[in-house]
Amino acid sequence: MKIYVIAVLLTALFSFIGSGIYTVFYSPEVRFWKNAIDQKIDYLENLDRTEPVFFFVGGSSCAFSVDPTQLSDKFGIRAVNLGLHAGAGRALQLEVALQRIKAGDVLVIAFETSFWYETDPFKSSALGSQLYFASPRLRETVPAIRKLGVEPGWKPIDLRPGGYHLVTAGLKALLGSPSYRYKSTDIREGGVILYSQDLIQATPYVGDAGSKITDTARSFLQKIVSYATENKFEVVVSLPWQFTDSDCLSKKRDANAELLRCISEICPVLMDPSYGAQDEPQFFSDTFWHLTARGVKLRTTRLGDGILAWMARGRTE
Amino acid sequence: MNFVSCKFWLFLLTLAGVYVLLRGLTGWKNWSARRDQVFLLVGSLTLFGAEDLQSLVIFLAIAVFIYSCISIQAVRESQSRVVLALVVFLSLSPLLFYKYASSFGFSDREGSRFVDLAIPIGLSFYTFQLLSLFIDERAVSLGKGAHSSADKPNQYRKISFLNYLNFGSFFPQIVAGPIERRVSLLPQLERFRFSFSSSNLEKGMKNITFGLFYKLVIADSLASSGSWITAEYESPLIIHLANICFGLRIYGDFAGYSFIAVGIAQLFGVGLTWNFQSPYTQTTIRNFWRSWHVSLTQWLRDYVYIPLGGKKVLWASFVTFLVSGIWHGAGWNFIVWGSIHGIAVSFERGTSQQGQWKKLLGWWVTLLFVMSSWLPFYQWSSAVLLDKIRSLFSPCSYLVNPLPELTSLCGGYGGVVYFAGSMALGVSVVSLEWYSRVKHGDPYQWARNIVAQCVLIVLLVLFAPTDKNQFIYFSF
Repeated sequence: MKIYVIAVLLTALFSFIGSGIYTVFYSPEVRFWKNAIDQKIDYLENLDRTEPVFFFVGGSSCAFSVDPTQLSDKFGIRAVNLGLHAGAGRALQLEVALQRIKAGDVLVIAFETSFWYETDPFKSSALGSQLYFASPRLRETVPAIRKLGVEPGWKPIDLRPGGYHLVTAGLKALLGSPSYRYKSTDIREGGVILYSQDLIQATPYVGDAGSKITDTARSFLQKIVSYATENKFEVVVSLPWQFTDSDCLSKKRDANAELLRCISEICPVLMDPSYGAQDEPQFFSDTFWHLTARGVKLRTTRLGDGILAWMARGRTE
Repeated sequence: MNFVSCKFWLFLLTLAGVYVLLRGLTGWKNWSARRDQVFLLVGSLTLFGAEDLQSLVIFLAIAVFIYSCISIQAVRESQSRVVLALVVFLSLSPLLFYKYASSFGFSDREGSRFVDLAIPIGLSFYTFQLLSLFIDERAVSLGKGAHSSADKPNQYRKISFLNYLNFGSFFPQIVAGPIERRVSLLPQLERFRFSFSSSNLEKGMKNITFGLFYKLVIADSLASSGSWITAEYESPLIIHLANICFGLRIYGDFAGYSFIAVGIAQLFGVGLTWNFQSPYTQTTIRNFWRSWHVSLTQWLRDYVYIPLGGKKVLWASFVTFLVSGIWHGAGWNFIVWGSIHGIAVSFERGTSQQGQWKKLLGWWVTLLFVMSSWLPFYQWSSAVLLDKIRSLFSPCSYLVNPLPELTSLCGGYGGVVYFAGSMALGVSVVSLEWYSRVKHGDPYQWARNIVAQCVLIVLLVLFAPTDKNQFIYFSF
């Protein structure tokens, strides 16, 4: 009995240690996004913080669409793009900003539209845990997201690769393909990511236009607005651009306009003539959330216009 | 009570710590058996309540109701069938309400109090278990003997409320079975003591490891790689693959749960019924049902099939399977699923399987039938189900190359390889069960030695998907 118990426990222990080391130090996906977090934080720390800074948070639809250097050069707006992989979870996407935001700054929430319709928008994710444990700079303080009543659920037990990762990594190694779709050189100044491989044209989105904003999302928004007021920073919401099939475009825009109207009852929104839905293929790269360089330029210009208009309105609407 | 969540195991360890502390404070040797039984009850109810308080309240209400009926029955001499029917109906009414209310429009109206009709945890399983206790008590008091062949009337004596509640709420099996009978579980709980036994620890750990592997590696990999199976697609070859995928997934999911339940009970020195006996290696549909969810099959046999007339009545099997289908849910798909199994089992009667070739053929026919019949089980949308059945019976559609459609469903070539790998793993495990049954007479012998257990643990840590999936049977 003793041998059995010891053997089983030691096997479990060493398997966890081995998979933890692999995940934190060698997983291509974790390495890329950890690198992205570090570069985004470095950029932020080198910014002159005497002026307000716009913190853009969201999933990869944010990471692959907002160019802070363009905002700065063209509109004089200081900004940092803190967009991360959607699979990292909203808690981690917000955590990076909440740890570093100061009085006077502006938090631009640019989550994918699904966030506003989900009943559990902050459900824990394994990639979130993996990035949290792989990034020492995120662990310098206790998770700031808890101040909003969100339990991030980052656990060491999530430091495992999982079957999908192992199978696809093995296949890539066999075929001699790159271990991850994006390269560290795709991460540009200010935190924007530009896909540089051979262009894969995304398929447009044809699903549901959206439904009603959930009570959970509404309550989160109220909490973050009140937290921002206490800490003297501001919160605005912006919808990311989604490559949408021409047939559903007007329906999607109507749904997004209604969503923005609901959000604007609680906090200001940045207006955008496209209402987060675009049907121009030239603006999109490998997924219907990721923009090409051309798309990034136009999206950033529209954002700059939106921000200036919001500031001109006295930052209230 | 989700056996694959860290929360459950931490809670269990905390309860163990509280027990040691309490026993240490009150004097280790002065601690009576009754205190152990009270602590077991408190522990079971705490674990249950921590998962969902509403479910605990419903459990207590049903348990108190059935215990009152048993007590009243014990002092009354005449036992009318009307009273029996009334007690059965009242005991089943919460189950009927939660399962079927939505079909009658309660859950669809916005603003209704009944919008969220998620079924309380374990409702079916403990209701069936406690109801069987009531029916058996009644049968014994009428001098007819109990329904289980292992039951003997002289083993029946008044059950204390404490032991009764422990019988109904024993935490390893309250959520999804096995549905235990009085004679198999109650005597063990009446003499229950918390004690450490190295042999129980080893047996328990082996079954828990085995169960975690079945659930987290086989079932969850198939759930993750085959998340598209309920979508609309046209290729009949993909529909067949989806059927096999779901068949392996539900087996891994429920067998995994049952192995863990048996393993946890073994840690406490309690033996539970083996709910699975390698069903996919059986050579007839009847034997498939004798080895799939054994305790539910036995329950349906004793309380539905035999009262309907059993072997003497031609349609008894059909009705029993129809009831089983309806129990799974209110949709037409479950009625179809139950009916086709009922017809198949009735039809199978009288066929013989002498000789190796007939057995091998029987195994393939059984597998083909069981796997194909999962289609109406998982495909809840009637319109999509009809389209898929049409595709299956359209010979021309078999000529279309399924790979482009499969690649799109799996989200790329990586997804296809992951799906293929998960399927291969599931098929390998069933093959190992077959080999083990032939060689050792025990389908699960292949995983009982120390090397196999260590390999399972490594696979568990590396291959278990990082996204979480609830046990399928929790929704029944």
